[in-house]
Amino acid sequence: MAPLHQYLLLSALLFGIGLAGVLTRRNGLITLMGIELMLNAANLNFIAFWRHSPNPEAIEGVLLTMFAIGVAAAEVAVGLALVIAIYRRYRSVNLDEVDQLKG
Amino acid sequence: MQVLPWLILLLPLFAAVGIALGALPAHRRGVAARLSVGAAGLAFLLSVLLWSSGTQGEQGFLWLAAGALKVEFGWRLDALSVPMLLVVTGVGGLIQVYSLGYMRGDKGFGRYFAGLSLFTFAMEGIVLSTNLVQMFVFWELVGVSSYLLIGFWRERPAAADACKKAFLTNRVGDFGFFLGILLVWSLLGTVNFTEMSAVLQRQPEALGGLATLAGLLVFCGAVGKSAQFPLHVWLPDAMEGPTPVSALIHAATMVAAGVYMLCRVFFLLDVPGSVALEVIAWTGIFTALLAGVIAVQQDDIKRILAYSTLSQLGFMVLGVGLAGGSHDPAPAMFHLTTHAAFKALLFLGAGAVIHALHHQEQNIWKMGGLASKMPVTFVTFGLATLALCGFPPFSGAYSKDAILLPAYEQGRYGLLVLALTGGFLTALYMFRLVFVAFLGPAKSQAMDQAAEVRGVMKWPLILLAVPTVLAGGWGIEGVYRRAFGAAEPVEAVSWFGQIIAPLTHAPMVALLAFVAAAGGAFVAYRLYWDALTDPLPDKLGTPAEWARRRFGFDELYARIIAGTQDALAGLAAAVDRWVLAGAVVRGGHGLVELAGRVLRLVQTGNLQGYVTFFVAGTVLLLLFVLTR
Amino acid sequence: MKGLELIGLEIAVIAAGIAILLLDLWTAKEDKRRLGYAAALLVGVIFLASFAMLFEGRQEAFHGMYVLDEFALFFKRFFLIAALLVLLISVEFADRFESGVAEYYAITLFALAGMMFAASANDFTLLFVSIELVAVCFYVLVSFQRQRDRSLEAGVKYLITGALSGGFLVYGIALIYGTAGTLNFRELASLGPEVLESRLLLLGLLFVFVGLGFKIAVVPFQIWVPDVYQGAPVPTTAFLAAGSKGAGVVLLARLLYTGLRPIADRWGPVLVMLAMLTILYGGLCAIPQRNFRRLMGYSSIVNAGFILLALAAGTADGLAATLFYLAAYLYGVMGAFVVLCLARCPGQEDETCVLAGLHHRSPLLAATLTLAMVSLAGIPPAAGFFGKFQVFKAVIGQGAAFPYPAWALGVAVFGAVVSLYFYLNVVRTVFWSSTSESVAPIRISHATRWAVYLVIFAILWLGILPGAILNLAEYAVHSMGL
Repeated sequence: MAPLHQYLLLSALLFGIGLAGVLTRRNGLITLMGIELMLNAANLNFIAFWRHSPNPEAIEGVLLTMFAIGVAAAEVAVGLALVIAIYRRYRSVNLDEVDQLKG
Repeated sequence: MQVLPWLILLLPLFAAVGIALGALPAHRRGVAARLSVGAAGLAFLLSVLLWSSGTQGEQGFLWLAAGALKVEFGWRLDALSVPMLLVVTGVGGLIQVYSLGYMRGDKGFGRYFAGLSLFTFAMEGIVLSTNLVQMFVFWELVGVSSYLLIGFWRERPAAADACKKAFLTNRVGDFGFFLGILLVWSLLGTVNFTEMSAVLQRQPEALGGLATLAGLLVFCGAVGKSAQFPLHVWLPDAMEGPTPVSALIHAATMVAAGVYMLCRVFFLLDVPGSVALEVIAWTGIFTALLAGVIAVQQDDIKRILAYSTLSQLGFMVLGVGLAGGSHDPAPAMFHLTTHAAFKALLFLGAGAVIHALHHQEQNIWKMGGLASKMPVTFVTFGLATLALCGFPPFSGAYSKDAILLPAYEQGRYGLLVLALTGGFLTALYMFRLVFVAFLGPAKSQAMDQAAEVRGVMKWPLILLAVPTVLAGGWGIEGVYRRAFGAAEPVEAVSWFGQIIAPLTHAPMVALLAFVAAAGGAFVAYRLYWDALTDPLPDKLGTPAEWARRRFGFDELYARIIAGTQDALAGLAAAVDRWVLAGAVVRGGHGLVELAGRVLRLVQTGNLQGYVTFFVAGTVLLLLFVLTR
Repeated sequence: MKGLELIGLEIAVIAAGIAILLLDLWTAKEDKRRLGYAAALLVGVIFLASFAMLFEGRQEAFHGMYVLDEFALFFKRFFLIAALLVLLISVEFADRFESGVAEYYAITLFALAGMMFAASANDFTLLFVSIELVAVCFYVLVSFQRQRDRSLEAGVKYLITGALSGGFLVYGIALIYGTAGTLNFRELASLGPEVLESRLLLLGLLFVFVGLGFKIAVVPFQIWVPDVYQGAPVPTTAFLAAGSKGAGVVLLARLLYTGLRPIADRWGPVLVMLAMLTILYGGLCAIPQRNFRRLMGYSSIVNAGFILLALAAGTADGLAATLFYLAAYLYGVMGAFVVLCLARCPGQEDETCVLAGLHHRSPLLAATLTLAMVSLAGIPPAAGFFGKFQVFKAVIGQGAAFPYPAWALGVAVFGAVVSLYFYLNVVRTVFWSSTSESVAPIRISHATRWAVYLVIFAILWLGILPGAILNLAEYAVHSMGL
């Protein structure tokens, strides 16, 4: 079993990549993917912490991971529906073009 | 007797609610008038009953208990509140009667009387309050009702601006008051007047090092309501309301509330180690002089009176500030009472003039010769002028002497001289007004059709003239003095004894005050008798121009806030924030507005920009927390 | 199982949502709008039933994940009232949805269930689940007018920023789990300061705060608010302003006052700092704002600042002030949005005609709006005055123990005065602006009329006789062991 800090580094890296994706990409789909990556980074953390915890019988970590996966699925479902609706109206999934509301 | 105060308090409220529910439409104006005037009259009669019965004491029910804070709702009757109640209901009632004539034919007749009743209710609430929180609630209600009445002619943009300015400026002061209340509560553990004063009597040091701060925060409320510098800007604009409303605001309610409150919580200000009274005294005299100088160069009849109110309020506040030596602010209340009568009379007289001129003309340089056309108005206005200037034996002379006396006795000759200068200015601008508008030659065609007002508008003038002339001999000061711990004077002094009292008591002060007033009147005579235009701007040049432009306070505030900050603005930086509201109202793009516009640039509408902002904020927050 | 009876209210709400979805199948198209009354009725019944849930003190279920105490009940009732009013005004709004009216009601109910779970969350797991349940429902509710560009735009903005904050939240919880070894608030409190002060844990807590701050609309997580408030359907905005914010507040309050009490001196200053920034940002931005809905967005930010200020006190007084402030805020917001919903301007996106000359079109609505603005501005005798009063009292009552007391008070006064200005501007537009457009009177249905009366009554009641709700709030706070 790999040491804990390696998992943590990997998850931090994933989180960073996801965040960078959200920050730099205009494409709505890629933005959503970035957010997925961030959630998965957290999930990885949970599992790693759970495996290395002194009492692995307490399954809180796993439990939360399950919830997180479920929530992420719901979020993406809504998100994709929205992006499609945006595409229908704007003929583009570029979120930069959606900027009527401001001030 | 226990039910009387409740009745007095609630009658105007019932009238207001009744009108609001059923008598707003124009065809029900009779009902509205009867409800409102009836309630005011009844409240006055009951107040007289209360006064003659000599009931004193306190009653209330627990209104709100939040943790350690217990707030009652009730009434408190003592030598301070009962006479004040008479003033509010009496003068207010006469103004309502007068309004019947003045507002006849206005389409918002019902709304007007509902507003007046609400105003009366709020003011009575302040007078009867047993504690600071209750007082604050009514205090705000006064603000709300003044907002409604000043902006009564809502189709006029000036009125809409004026009512907002009045409200906002007041709120700035009120927030100081509010913080003061909470501070006092946290230090003394109670907000009830009786209990607070008991605590302070047991341990005068209870306020500790915060005494001055607490006093000044509470004073903030009075600065707003009683229109002291630097929050005085709302009062002159407030004349955009109907003239009787100005009379009400300037005489019996609203501005009186500030001085009344200061007297009510005088024990908070008059504690060892606090310099609050000193600040109060200087604020008062500064306001008095500033307003006096400005009034000399105003041309609008109501504006002159408005600045004269400011000036007299300055005297009252000075009276409170000077009471530190004698522990007795009764002179301020005395002046408040006499002023209520003659200032109401002055405003109603001005209203009569405006009414006679069909609401067309308010510039005194277009008037003239009104004395022969409107004899009753002229005589009563003249009597009120003499009282305001402080000529014996009219009431104002005695109350003004009472304020000057402590300054003389305490050897504070600087303040005395300044106050006498104020007296000089008072006579100057008032006689200017009388000479130009009433006595001088008619300066426009409109004067030909002016005629005496009749009936419901005439009688209030005559009735108000009675206290204007006689109140100096009624021993009012002695009554108020009892509220501040003094026993009643042993020997009953006759009316005549009261009238000559200043001469036997402190002839020096009386003489000086008389000389100052007479000097003012004389100068006015030399300058304005038969004058067709104002000679002062030519003679004085720039200073007169400044006074005419009210020293540019309104513009100054607008400009400071517009961001063009010069050296003065640096000094006034604190002031500027307080008055920003007033300036923003005037349409200036304030510093705040500017900041808002800049900040709104963040809101670009671009999602990626938002996300970047979000993450940058998070990072900054992390840095802030984790590096500490 | 014992847990199930404790979550009876939540189960009832979810069942109501499903029932609405089922009823939809047998309802004629033109009657679907009225399903909102059925939903409101059900919520009303559940609200009444919540008073039957009298119980023997504090109870826990699901291994301490879920807690039922007076504090939770206070918030559950708060959310129920909010949802009741929102459902009533949605019925007025329903004809502006192209389709799926029944789904709109049902999803509102599901969001309500999420909020009610949030009221009882005593554990990061339930915190996460409830907050996400609310969030996902709101992604749908915000973008419900799919034919309107603005609704879509608001939806996508809310979704992206919301999901981002959710990402932070989950990652933060993971870090807390790793360093503290527990997800329960109570157990967290028992760990002692040395664990709680560790950097990784603080980092995790901050990430959680990002997620909650997003809900409450605290600077720097407020950026979405004006856009979403402007674009979303009116009932959704109302629910966002009252319910979603309330959910964030209850979670934050529970976390701070149970789990993080030992390190109150750490979070107090941070909260005060952010509260000041929030008040300043919201107040300053609102001044030049002319669009009423955006204005309500900025107002929501200012109010978030005041709530945070009260929370930062860290005392029972502060928490009670928070509760009362929220209650007062709820009715102010509802008063404003009820008017927005009824006074429509066809074909006009900037909605100036909603306000201009409203008193000609409907004196009742003009009065309601005025009262709501007066309340939000904090003028007696309206509810908002006592809200602000309680907040100031909590701050001053703490005295020097409060972080940056003078600054905080200064900013609070500034915020109060500035907000006065922009609320009064609304009132001024209602009464003093000249209208050249058609002045067709506004028709108000009976149900909505009652909702309006309820709002007016509540604002005045809380303002004139605040004692009862204050006692309730204090009682709720005591049940937290303060």
